[in-house]
Amino acid sequence: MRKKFQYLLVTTFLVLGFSTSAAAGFYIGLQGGAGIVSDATGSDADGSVNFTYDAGYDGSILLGYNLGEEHPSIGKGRVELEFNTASNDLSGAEFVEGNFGAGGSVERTSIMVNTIGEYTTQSGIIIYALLGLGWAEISLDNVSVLGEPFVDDNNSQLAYQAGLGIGWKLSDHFIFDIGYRYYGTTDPEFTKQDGTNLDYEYASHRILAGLRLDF
Amino acid sequence: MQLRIILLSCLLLVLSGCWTDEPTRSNTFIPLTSIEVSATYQSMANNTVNQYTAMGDFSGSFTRDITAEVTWAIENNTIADVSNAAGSEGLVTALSPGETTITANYDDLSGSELVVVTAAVLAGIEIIPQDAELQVGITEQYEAAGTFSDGSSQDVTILATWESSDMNVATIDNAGLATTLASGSTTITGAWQGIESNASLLVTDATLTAVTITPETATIAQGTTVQFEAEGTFSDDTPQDITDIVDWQSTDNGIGIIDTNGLAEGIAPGQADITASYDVGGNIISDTAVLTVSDAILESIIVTPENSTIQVGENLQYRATGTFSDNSEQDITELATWLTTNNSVGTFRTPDSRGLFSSDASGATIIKASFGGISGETLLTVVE
Repeated sequence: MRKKFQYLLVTTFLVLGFSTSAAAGFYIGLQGGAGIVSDATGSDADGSVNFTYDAGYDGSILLGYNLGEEHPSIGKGRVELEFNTASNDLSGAEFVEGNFGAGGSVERTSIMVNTIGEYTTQSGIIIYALLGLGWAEISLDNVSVLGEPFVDDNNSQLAYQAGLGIGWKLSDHFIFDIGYRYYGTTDPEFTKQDGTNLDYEYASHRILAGLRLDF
Repeated sequence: MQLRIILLSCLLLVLSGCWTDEPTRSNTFIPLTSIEVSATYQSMANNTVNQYTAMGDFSGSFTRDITAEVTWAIENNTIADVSNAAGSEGLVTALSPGETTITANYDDLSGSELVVVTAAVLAGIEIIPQDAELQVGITEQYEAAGTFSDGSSQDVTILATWESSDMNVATIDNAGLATTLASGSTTITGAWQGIESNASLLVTDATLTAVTITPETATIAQGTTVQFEAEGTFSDDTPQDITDIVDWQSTDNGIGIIDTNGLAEGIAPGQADITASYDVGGNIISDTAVLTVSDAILESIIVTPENSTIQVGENLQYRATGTFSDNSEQDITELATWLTTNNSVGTFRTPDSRGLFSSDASGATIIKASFGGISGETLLTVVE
């Protein structure tokens, strides 16, 4: 976990210093796509179980500011607030004896502060890299194993993400982009139906398409 | 250059979250569907003990020893008593001659077996080993085998009183575990119900110089077991089986675990080192073997001997050989659940030696061995 944050801190500064010229100003945007939650290990007093998920939805509302060329003391790039929600159904649980059916879902609601660096090619394609930090509430909703209730609880944790993508200017004000982001949190802790603790992991691969309106 | 650093950082972040370790939790969500109760001895002499075992079948997916998880009860507690105390669950003590039933209960499920207490009295005791020669600093588990007036035999080790005539040479505890202290000779005595037997113990001044594990490498399928053994070499070049007294460790319990007797179980695919070590006055003597756990899946079971015929009263030891998806074969006799379709012909009554069939009457039955949802079977005919 510590190494992940070290990489985030180092590359945050690199990202801010990696951008070409653009007009300064606010923007709003929408993003949507698929969220693929990584297989996660849940640990309790009896040992560890690996949970698997189906792909689910992932959507965000963006409010940001493009630094353009007008803030040389800070650097170039964009800074934005992202309000995000995502949901994935559980598909199975792996025990020592093998894989078994599991029900329920994992939900995510988060607010992220993202820094984005962009490079515009001669043909006008925008290549961007993104880093973000924020706060996420992770919910395990009605999770059951073979029909037996297991956990129904939520927990808030520090969140982080990193991503890459490409965009196109549709007009002077509208930009369309597609991209990939890796999203993770510090390990959440839940209370199971029997009152005991469950240590969990959460990480997601986000495949997104977005539309941004520059003011 | 900056782009490469950002791309590399993103890749490392992604890769760091891509894999999970193998699970270590048993599935307690699959319902227990049946309990099979068995005992070390078919009958027991009065005042002796007999260990009963409960094997749980979890919806046919897997079986597990649940002796310590069930609640034991005796129908007639004037004939026998059963322990539910930690460490001695299922241990029955005979109180008076007769027959009663023992039941293992788990929630709404139960399994039962007969408890037969005979009026046989102790006729003699044999101490095992009789004439032992051990090195200093070694422990040896003595056993007391009792023979009874009806010709039956039973282990009375934990019932006997143990003594060492020269406690400067060796001591022995209430469970028959002897520890050698110095070179010399002593006499080990085991006594019960007024009958005693002796065995000689010679302790040499040779010290342990090396430990050798066999096999050096072992490959097993996930969920199966392999027995490792440790042989000690001493300063007088004498060998000694020290499997039960060395300290067994696995370098990765997520891949393979090993118990105090050297029995290793494959938990998840991978490789782990198995070490056996012994402390000789602060100097650790050890050896290492490699345990490889494959992801092979059991595909079939062959039960042998096939289509056998025995006489009434005879026993027959069956073996179960599992064939796995990687074309490997493993003896899974000790892991399988053994069943017979016609209990009037005979049953499997000995948990410590699984697969041992004892015949009671003439007839035909199907012998079935099951493990991990896979079964194998064969026909057995019992004749007069």
